[in-house]
Amino acid sequence: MGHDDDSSKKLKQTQNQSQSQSQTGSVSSASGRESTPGWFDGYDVGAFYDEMFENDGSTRPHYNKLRQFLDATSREEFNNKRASADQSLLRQGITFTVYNDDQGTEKIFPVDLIPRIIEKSEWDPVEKGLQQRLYALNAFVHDVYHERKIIRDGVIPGEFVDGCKHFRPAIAGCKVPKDIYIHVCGTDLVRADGGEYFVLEDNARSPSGVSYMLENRSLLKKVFPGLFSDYSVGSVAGYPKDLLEVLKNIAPNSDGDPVVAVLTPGSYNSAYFEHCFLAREMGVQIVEGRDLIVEDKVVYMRTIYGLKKVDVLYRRIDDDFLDPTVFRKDSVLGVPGLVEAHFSGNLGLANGIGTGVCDDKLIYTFVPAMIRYYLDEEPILSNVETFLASDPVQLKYILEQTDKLVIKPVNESGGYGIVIGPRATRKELDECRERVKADPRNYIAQPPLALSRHPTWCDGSLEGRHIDLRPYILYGKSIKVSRGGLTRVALKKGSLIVNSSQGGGSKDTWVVS
Amino acid sequence: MANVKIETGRRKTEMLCRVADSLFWLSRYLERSENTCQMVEVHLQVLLDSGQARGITPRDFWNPMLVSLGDEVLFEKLYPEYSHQNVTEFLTFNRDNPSSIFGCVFAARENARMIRDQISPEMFEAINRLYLTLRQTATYSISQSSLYDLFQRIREMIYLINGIIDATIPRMIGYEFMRAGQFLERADKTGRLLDSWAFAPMELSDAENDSYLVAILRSCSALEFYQQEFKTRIIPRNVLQFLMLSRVFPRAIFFSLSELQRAIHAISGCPTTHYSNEVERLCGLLISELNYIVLQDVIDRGIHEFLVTLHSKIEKIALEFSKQYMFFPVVDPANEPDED
Repeated sequence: MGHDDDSSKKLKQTQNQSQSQSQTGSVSSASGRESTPGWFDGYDVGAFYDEMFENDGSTRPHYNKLRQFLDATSREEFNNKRASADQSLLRQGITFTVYNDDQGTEKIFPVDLIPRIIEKSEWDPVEKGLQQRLYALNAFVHDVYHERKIIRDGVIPGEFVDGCKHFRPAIAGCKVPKDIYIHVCGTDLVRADGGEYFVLEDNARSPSGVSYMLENRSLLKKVFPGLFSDYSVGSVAGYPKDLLEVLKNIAPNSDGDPVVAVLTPGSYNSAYFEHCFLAREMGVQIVEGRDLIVEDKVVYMRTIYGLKKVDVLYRRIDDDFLDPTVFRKDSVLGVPGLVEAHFSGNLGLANGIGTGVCDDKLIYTFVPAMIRYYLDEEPILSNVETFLASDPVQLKYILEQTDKLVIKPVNESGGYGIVIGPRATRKELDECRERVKADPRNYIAQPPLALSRHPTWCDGSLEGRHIDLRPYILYGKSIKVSRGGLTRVALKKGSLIVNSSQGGGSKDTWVVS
Repeated sequence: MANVKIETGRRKTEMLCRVADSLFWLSRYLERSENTCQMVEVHLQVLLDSGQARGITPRDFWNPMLVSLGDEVLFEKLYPEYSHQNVTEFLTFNRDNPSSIFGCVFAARENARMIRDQISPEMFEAINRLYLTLRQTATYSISQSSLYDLFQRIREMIYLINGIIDATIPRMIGYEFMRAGQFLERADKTGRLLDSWAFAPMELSDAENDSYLVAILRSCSALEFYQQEFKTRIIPRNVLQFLMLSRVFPRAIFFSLSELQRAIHAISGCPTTHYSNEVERLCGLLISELNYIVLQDVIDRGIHEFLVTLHSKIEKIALEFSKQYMFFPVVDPANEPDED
């Protein structure tokens, strides 16, 4: 690399800067200038909704400042920032664990430095829709473990509820503080062709990823401080404090300062970094099952000076492993007697037991009906069109059109077990049909979604990649939605799977006013 | 009225037993990795000075050291034969050896990871960096000269970590658990280093004896301070006096035990003139023994015997410490009986 290179680059920067200020920002506009290729030369919007560009290639207005900023940034400068960001994530150990992989089990969750930007006016109805959805889901959980009115009234077949993998008949009739079950919900949203937001799934057990939302923000502030002063970005930093309030809200005795702790399966769990992060940010202890002991239906943690009472647990352990006396007997992660302590009113537990019914993709199809049933309102956010294999007519359709549909098992998370019809081999399709026929209750199908795309750094240039969005919704004294959330991006070209375990990355998400 | 509660001294902070255990072991493992560096450095030095010339077999040379580390059964399980290369590899990089340098650093990092909400981010990052350095290096074999460079780097990184601990960790209970682990391990390992000389595999000529002791002093960064204190050539008696009984030299056994005592009394809040539990009693007993001992008695009774007894006393202190605060039995992989 010679000096000449450097000086020409500087020249290029100034040119680009003045150029971008004077034009409206058509994607192909810079392509005429062969000597100074712009960031978006040859950028292909494709047949998808692009978050940054209109179909005709012009920049959406709320992305203008980002566009100008990028045009004033050289590739080399950008690449250096990118490399140092990756290094700092690895050094800080901001990693997740990939199962079934030895030694190099810890990977960083790649962050794409190009932020996703959402206008507040566009976000406000989404926020309302998410609040509405969580009220209904929570009412549903309470109902299925008590009166089961929604079943008696014929809105949802009882066998659908009872057949959920995560339905917990053992807790029927048990009371929880303030009737709140889903304290933390992560609802995955996608945008399709027209830019409308759809709900893809609800995660009402223990949604993960919120630490990445917070870390991405602090990373971007370090890397692109200037850009923040151009935009007015809604803060996400209050999340840990809000979560702590949600947890204190379910403490057994409202007097005094309740002792809150985060219950983790341990340092080998894929989300352990996040558990530590949240405990630290909230200023509470992080505990494992072996740190806790139940005596006379009260939970204590073992400290160096003796036992100390615990009032609320934010648990990141599945129901199954929580208490070997109630659920899986072979669980060594859990605490014997914990469930009894909880239902005796001596321990607040978030999320509540049995909320996994909402994660079932068959139950998901009934959420709009739940909203109408419990709240007497029209759903603000729509579901993705879904076919139920459990319905004979729809099953027939699914079996005929398998190659045109996305087939999903109803009770898996993390993108496991999904068959994307248009990309599957004949053999995969046949096997898929057999599985669906053998167990129709456990499969649904959706038309492939043309997920929206976003410019993403791919080996030296920016290309469109498919994204989704997971906001985090907290249910305490009221329901609070994170501003934006975690945008996940499928880094592989053409891929629709955004899960971190399968080659996904993430982006900082800005709600701007 | 007398019921105004005045907070005196250190606040009794709540701390999970598991966290205390991790802090204690984190610093023990870090200290142990440094000590293993020292041990290997000394032996490679002695080997260069005399071992090879005398035609002593690798087995006769290394076996006593592995016995004193309690690692000989594992070594013989993992390697077909004793060779300088095999033993260094076993002690430095081997991932199946929990007390290899890699094993110690890995374990230190695992403990740090488990309690990363309790330590400063700078501390975690420094430990993580040490681990990443070793993981990169450990993937290919490495010549003897670059081995010295590697040891040098590892030790510098450990000094950095200790500096970061000093600069960023509040002087509360967690800090004391780390100090306790560090100095307990150090007292033990300085003892074993001396024992490797006292129990040397070969008859040493005077010159060889000197160079062995110089290697030990150098590995403890003690050569210059030894010379300042004694202003004589290297005499075994003085070296023992210095590394066992110095009250001021930070790697000396007596100094290390005093620091251990200070830390465990800071945890309980009991003054060192008394004791409030078994671990404090045993520690005080051992310190007063060393405090009033006459070096000639040790030499008469046999240095090796004395150091072996010292080791078992330190192990007993570690056991009582865990019983008192962690409620977990001590599981030190380096002392585990080997099973088939």
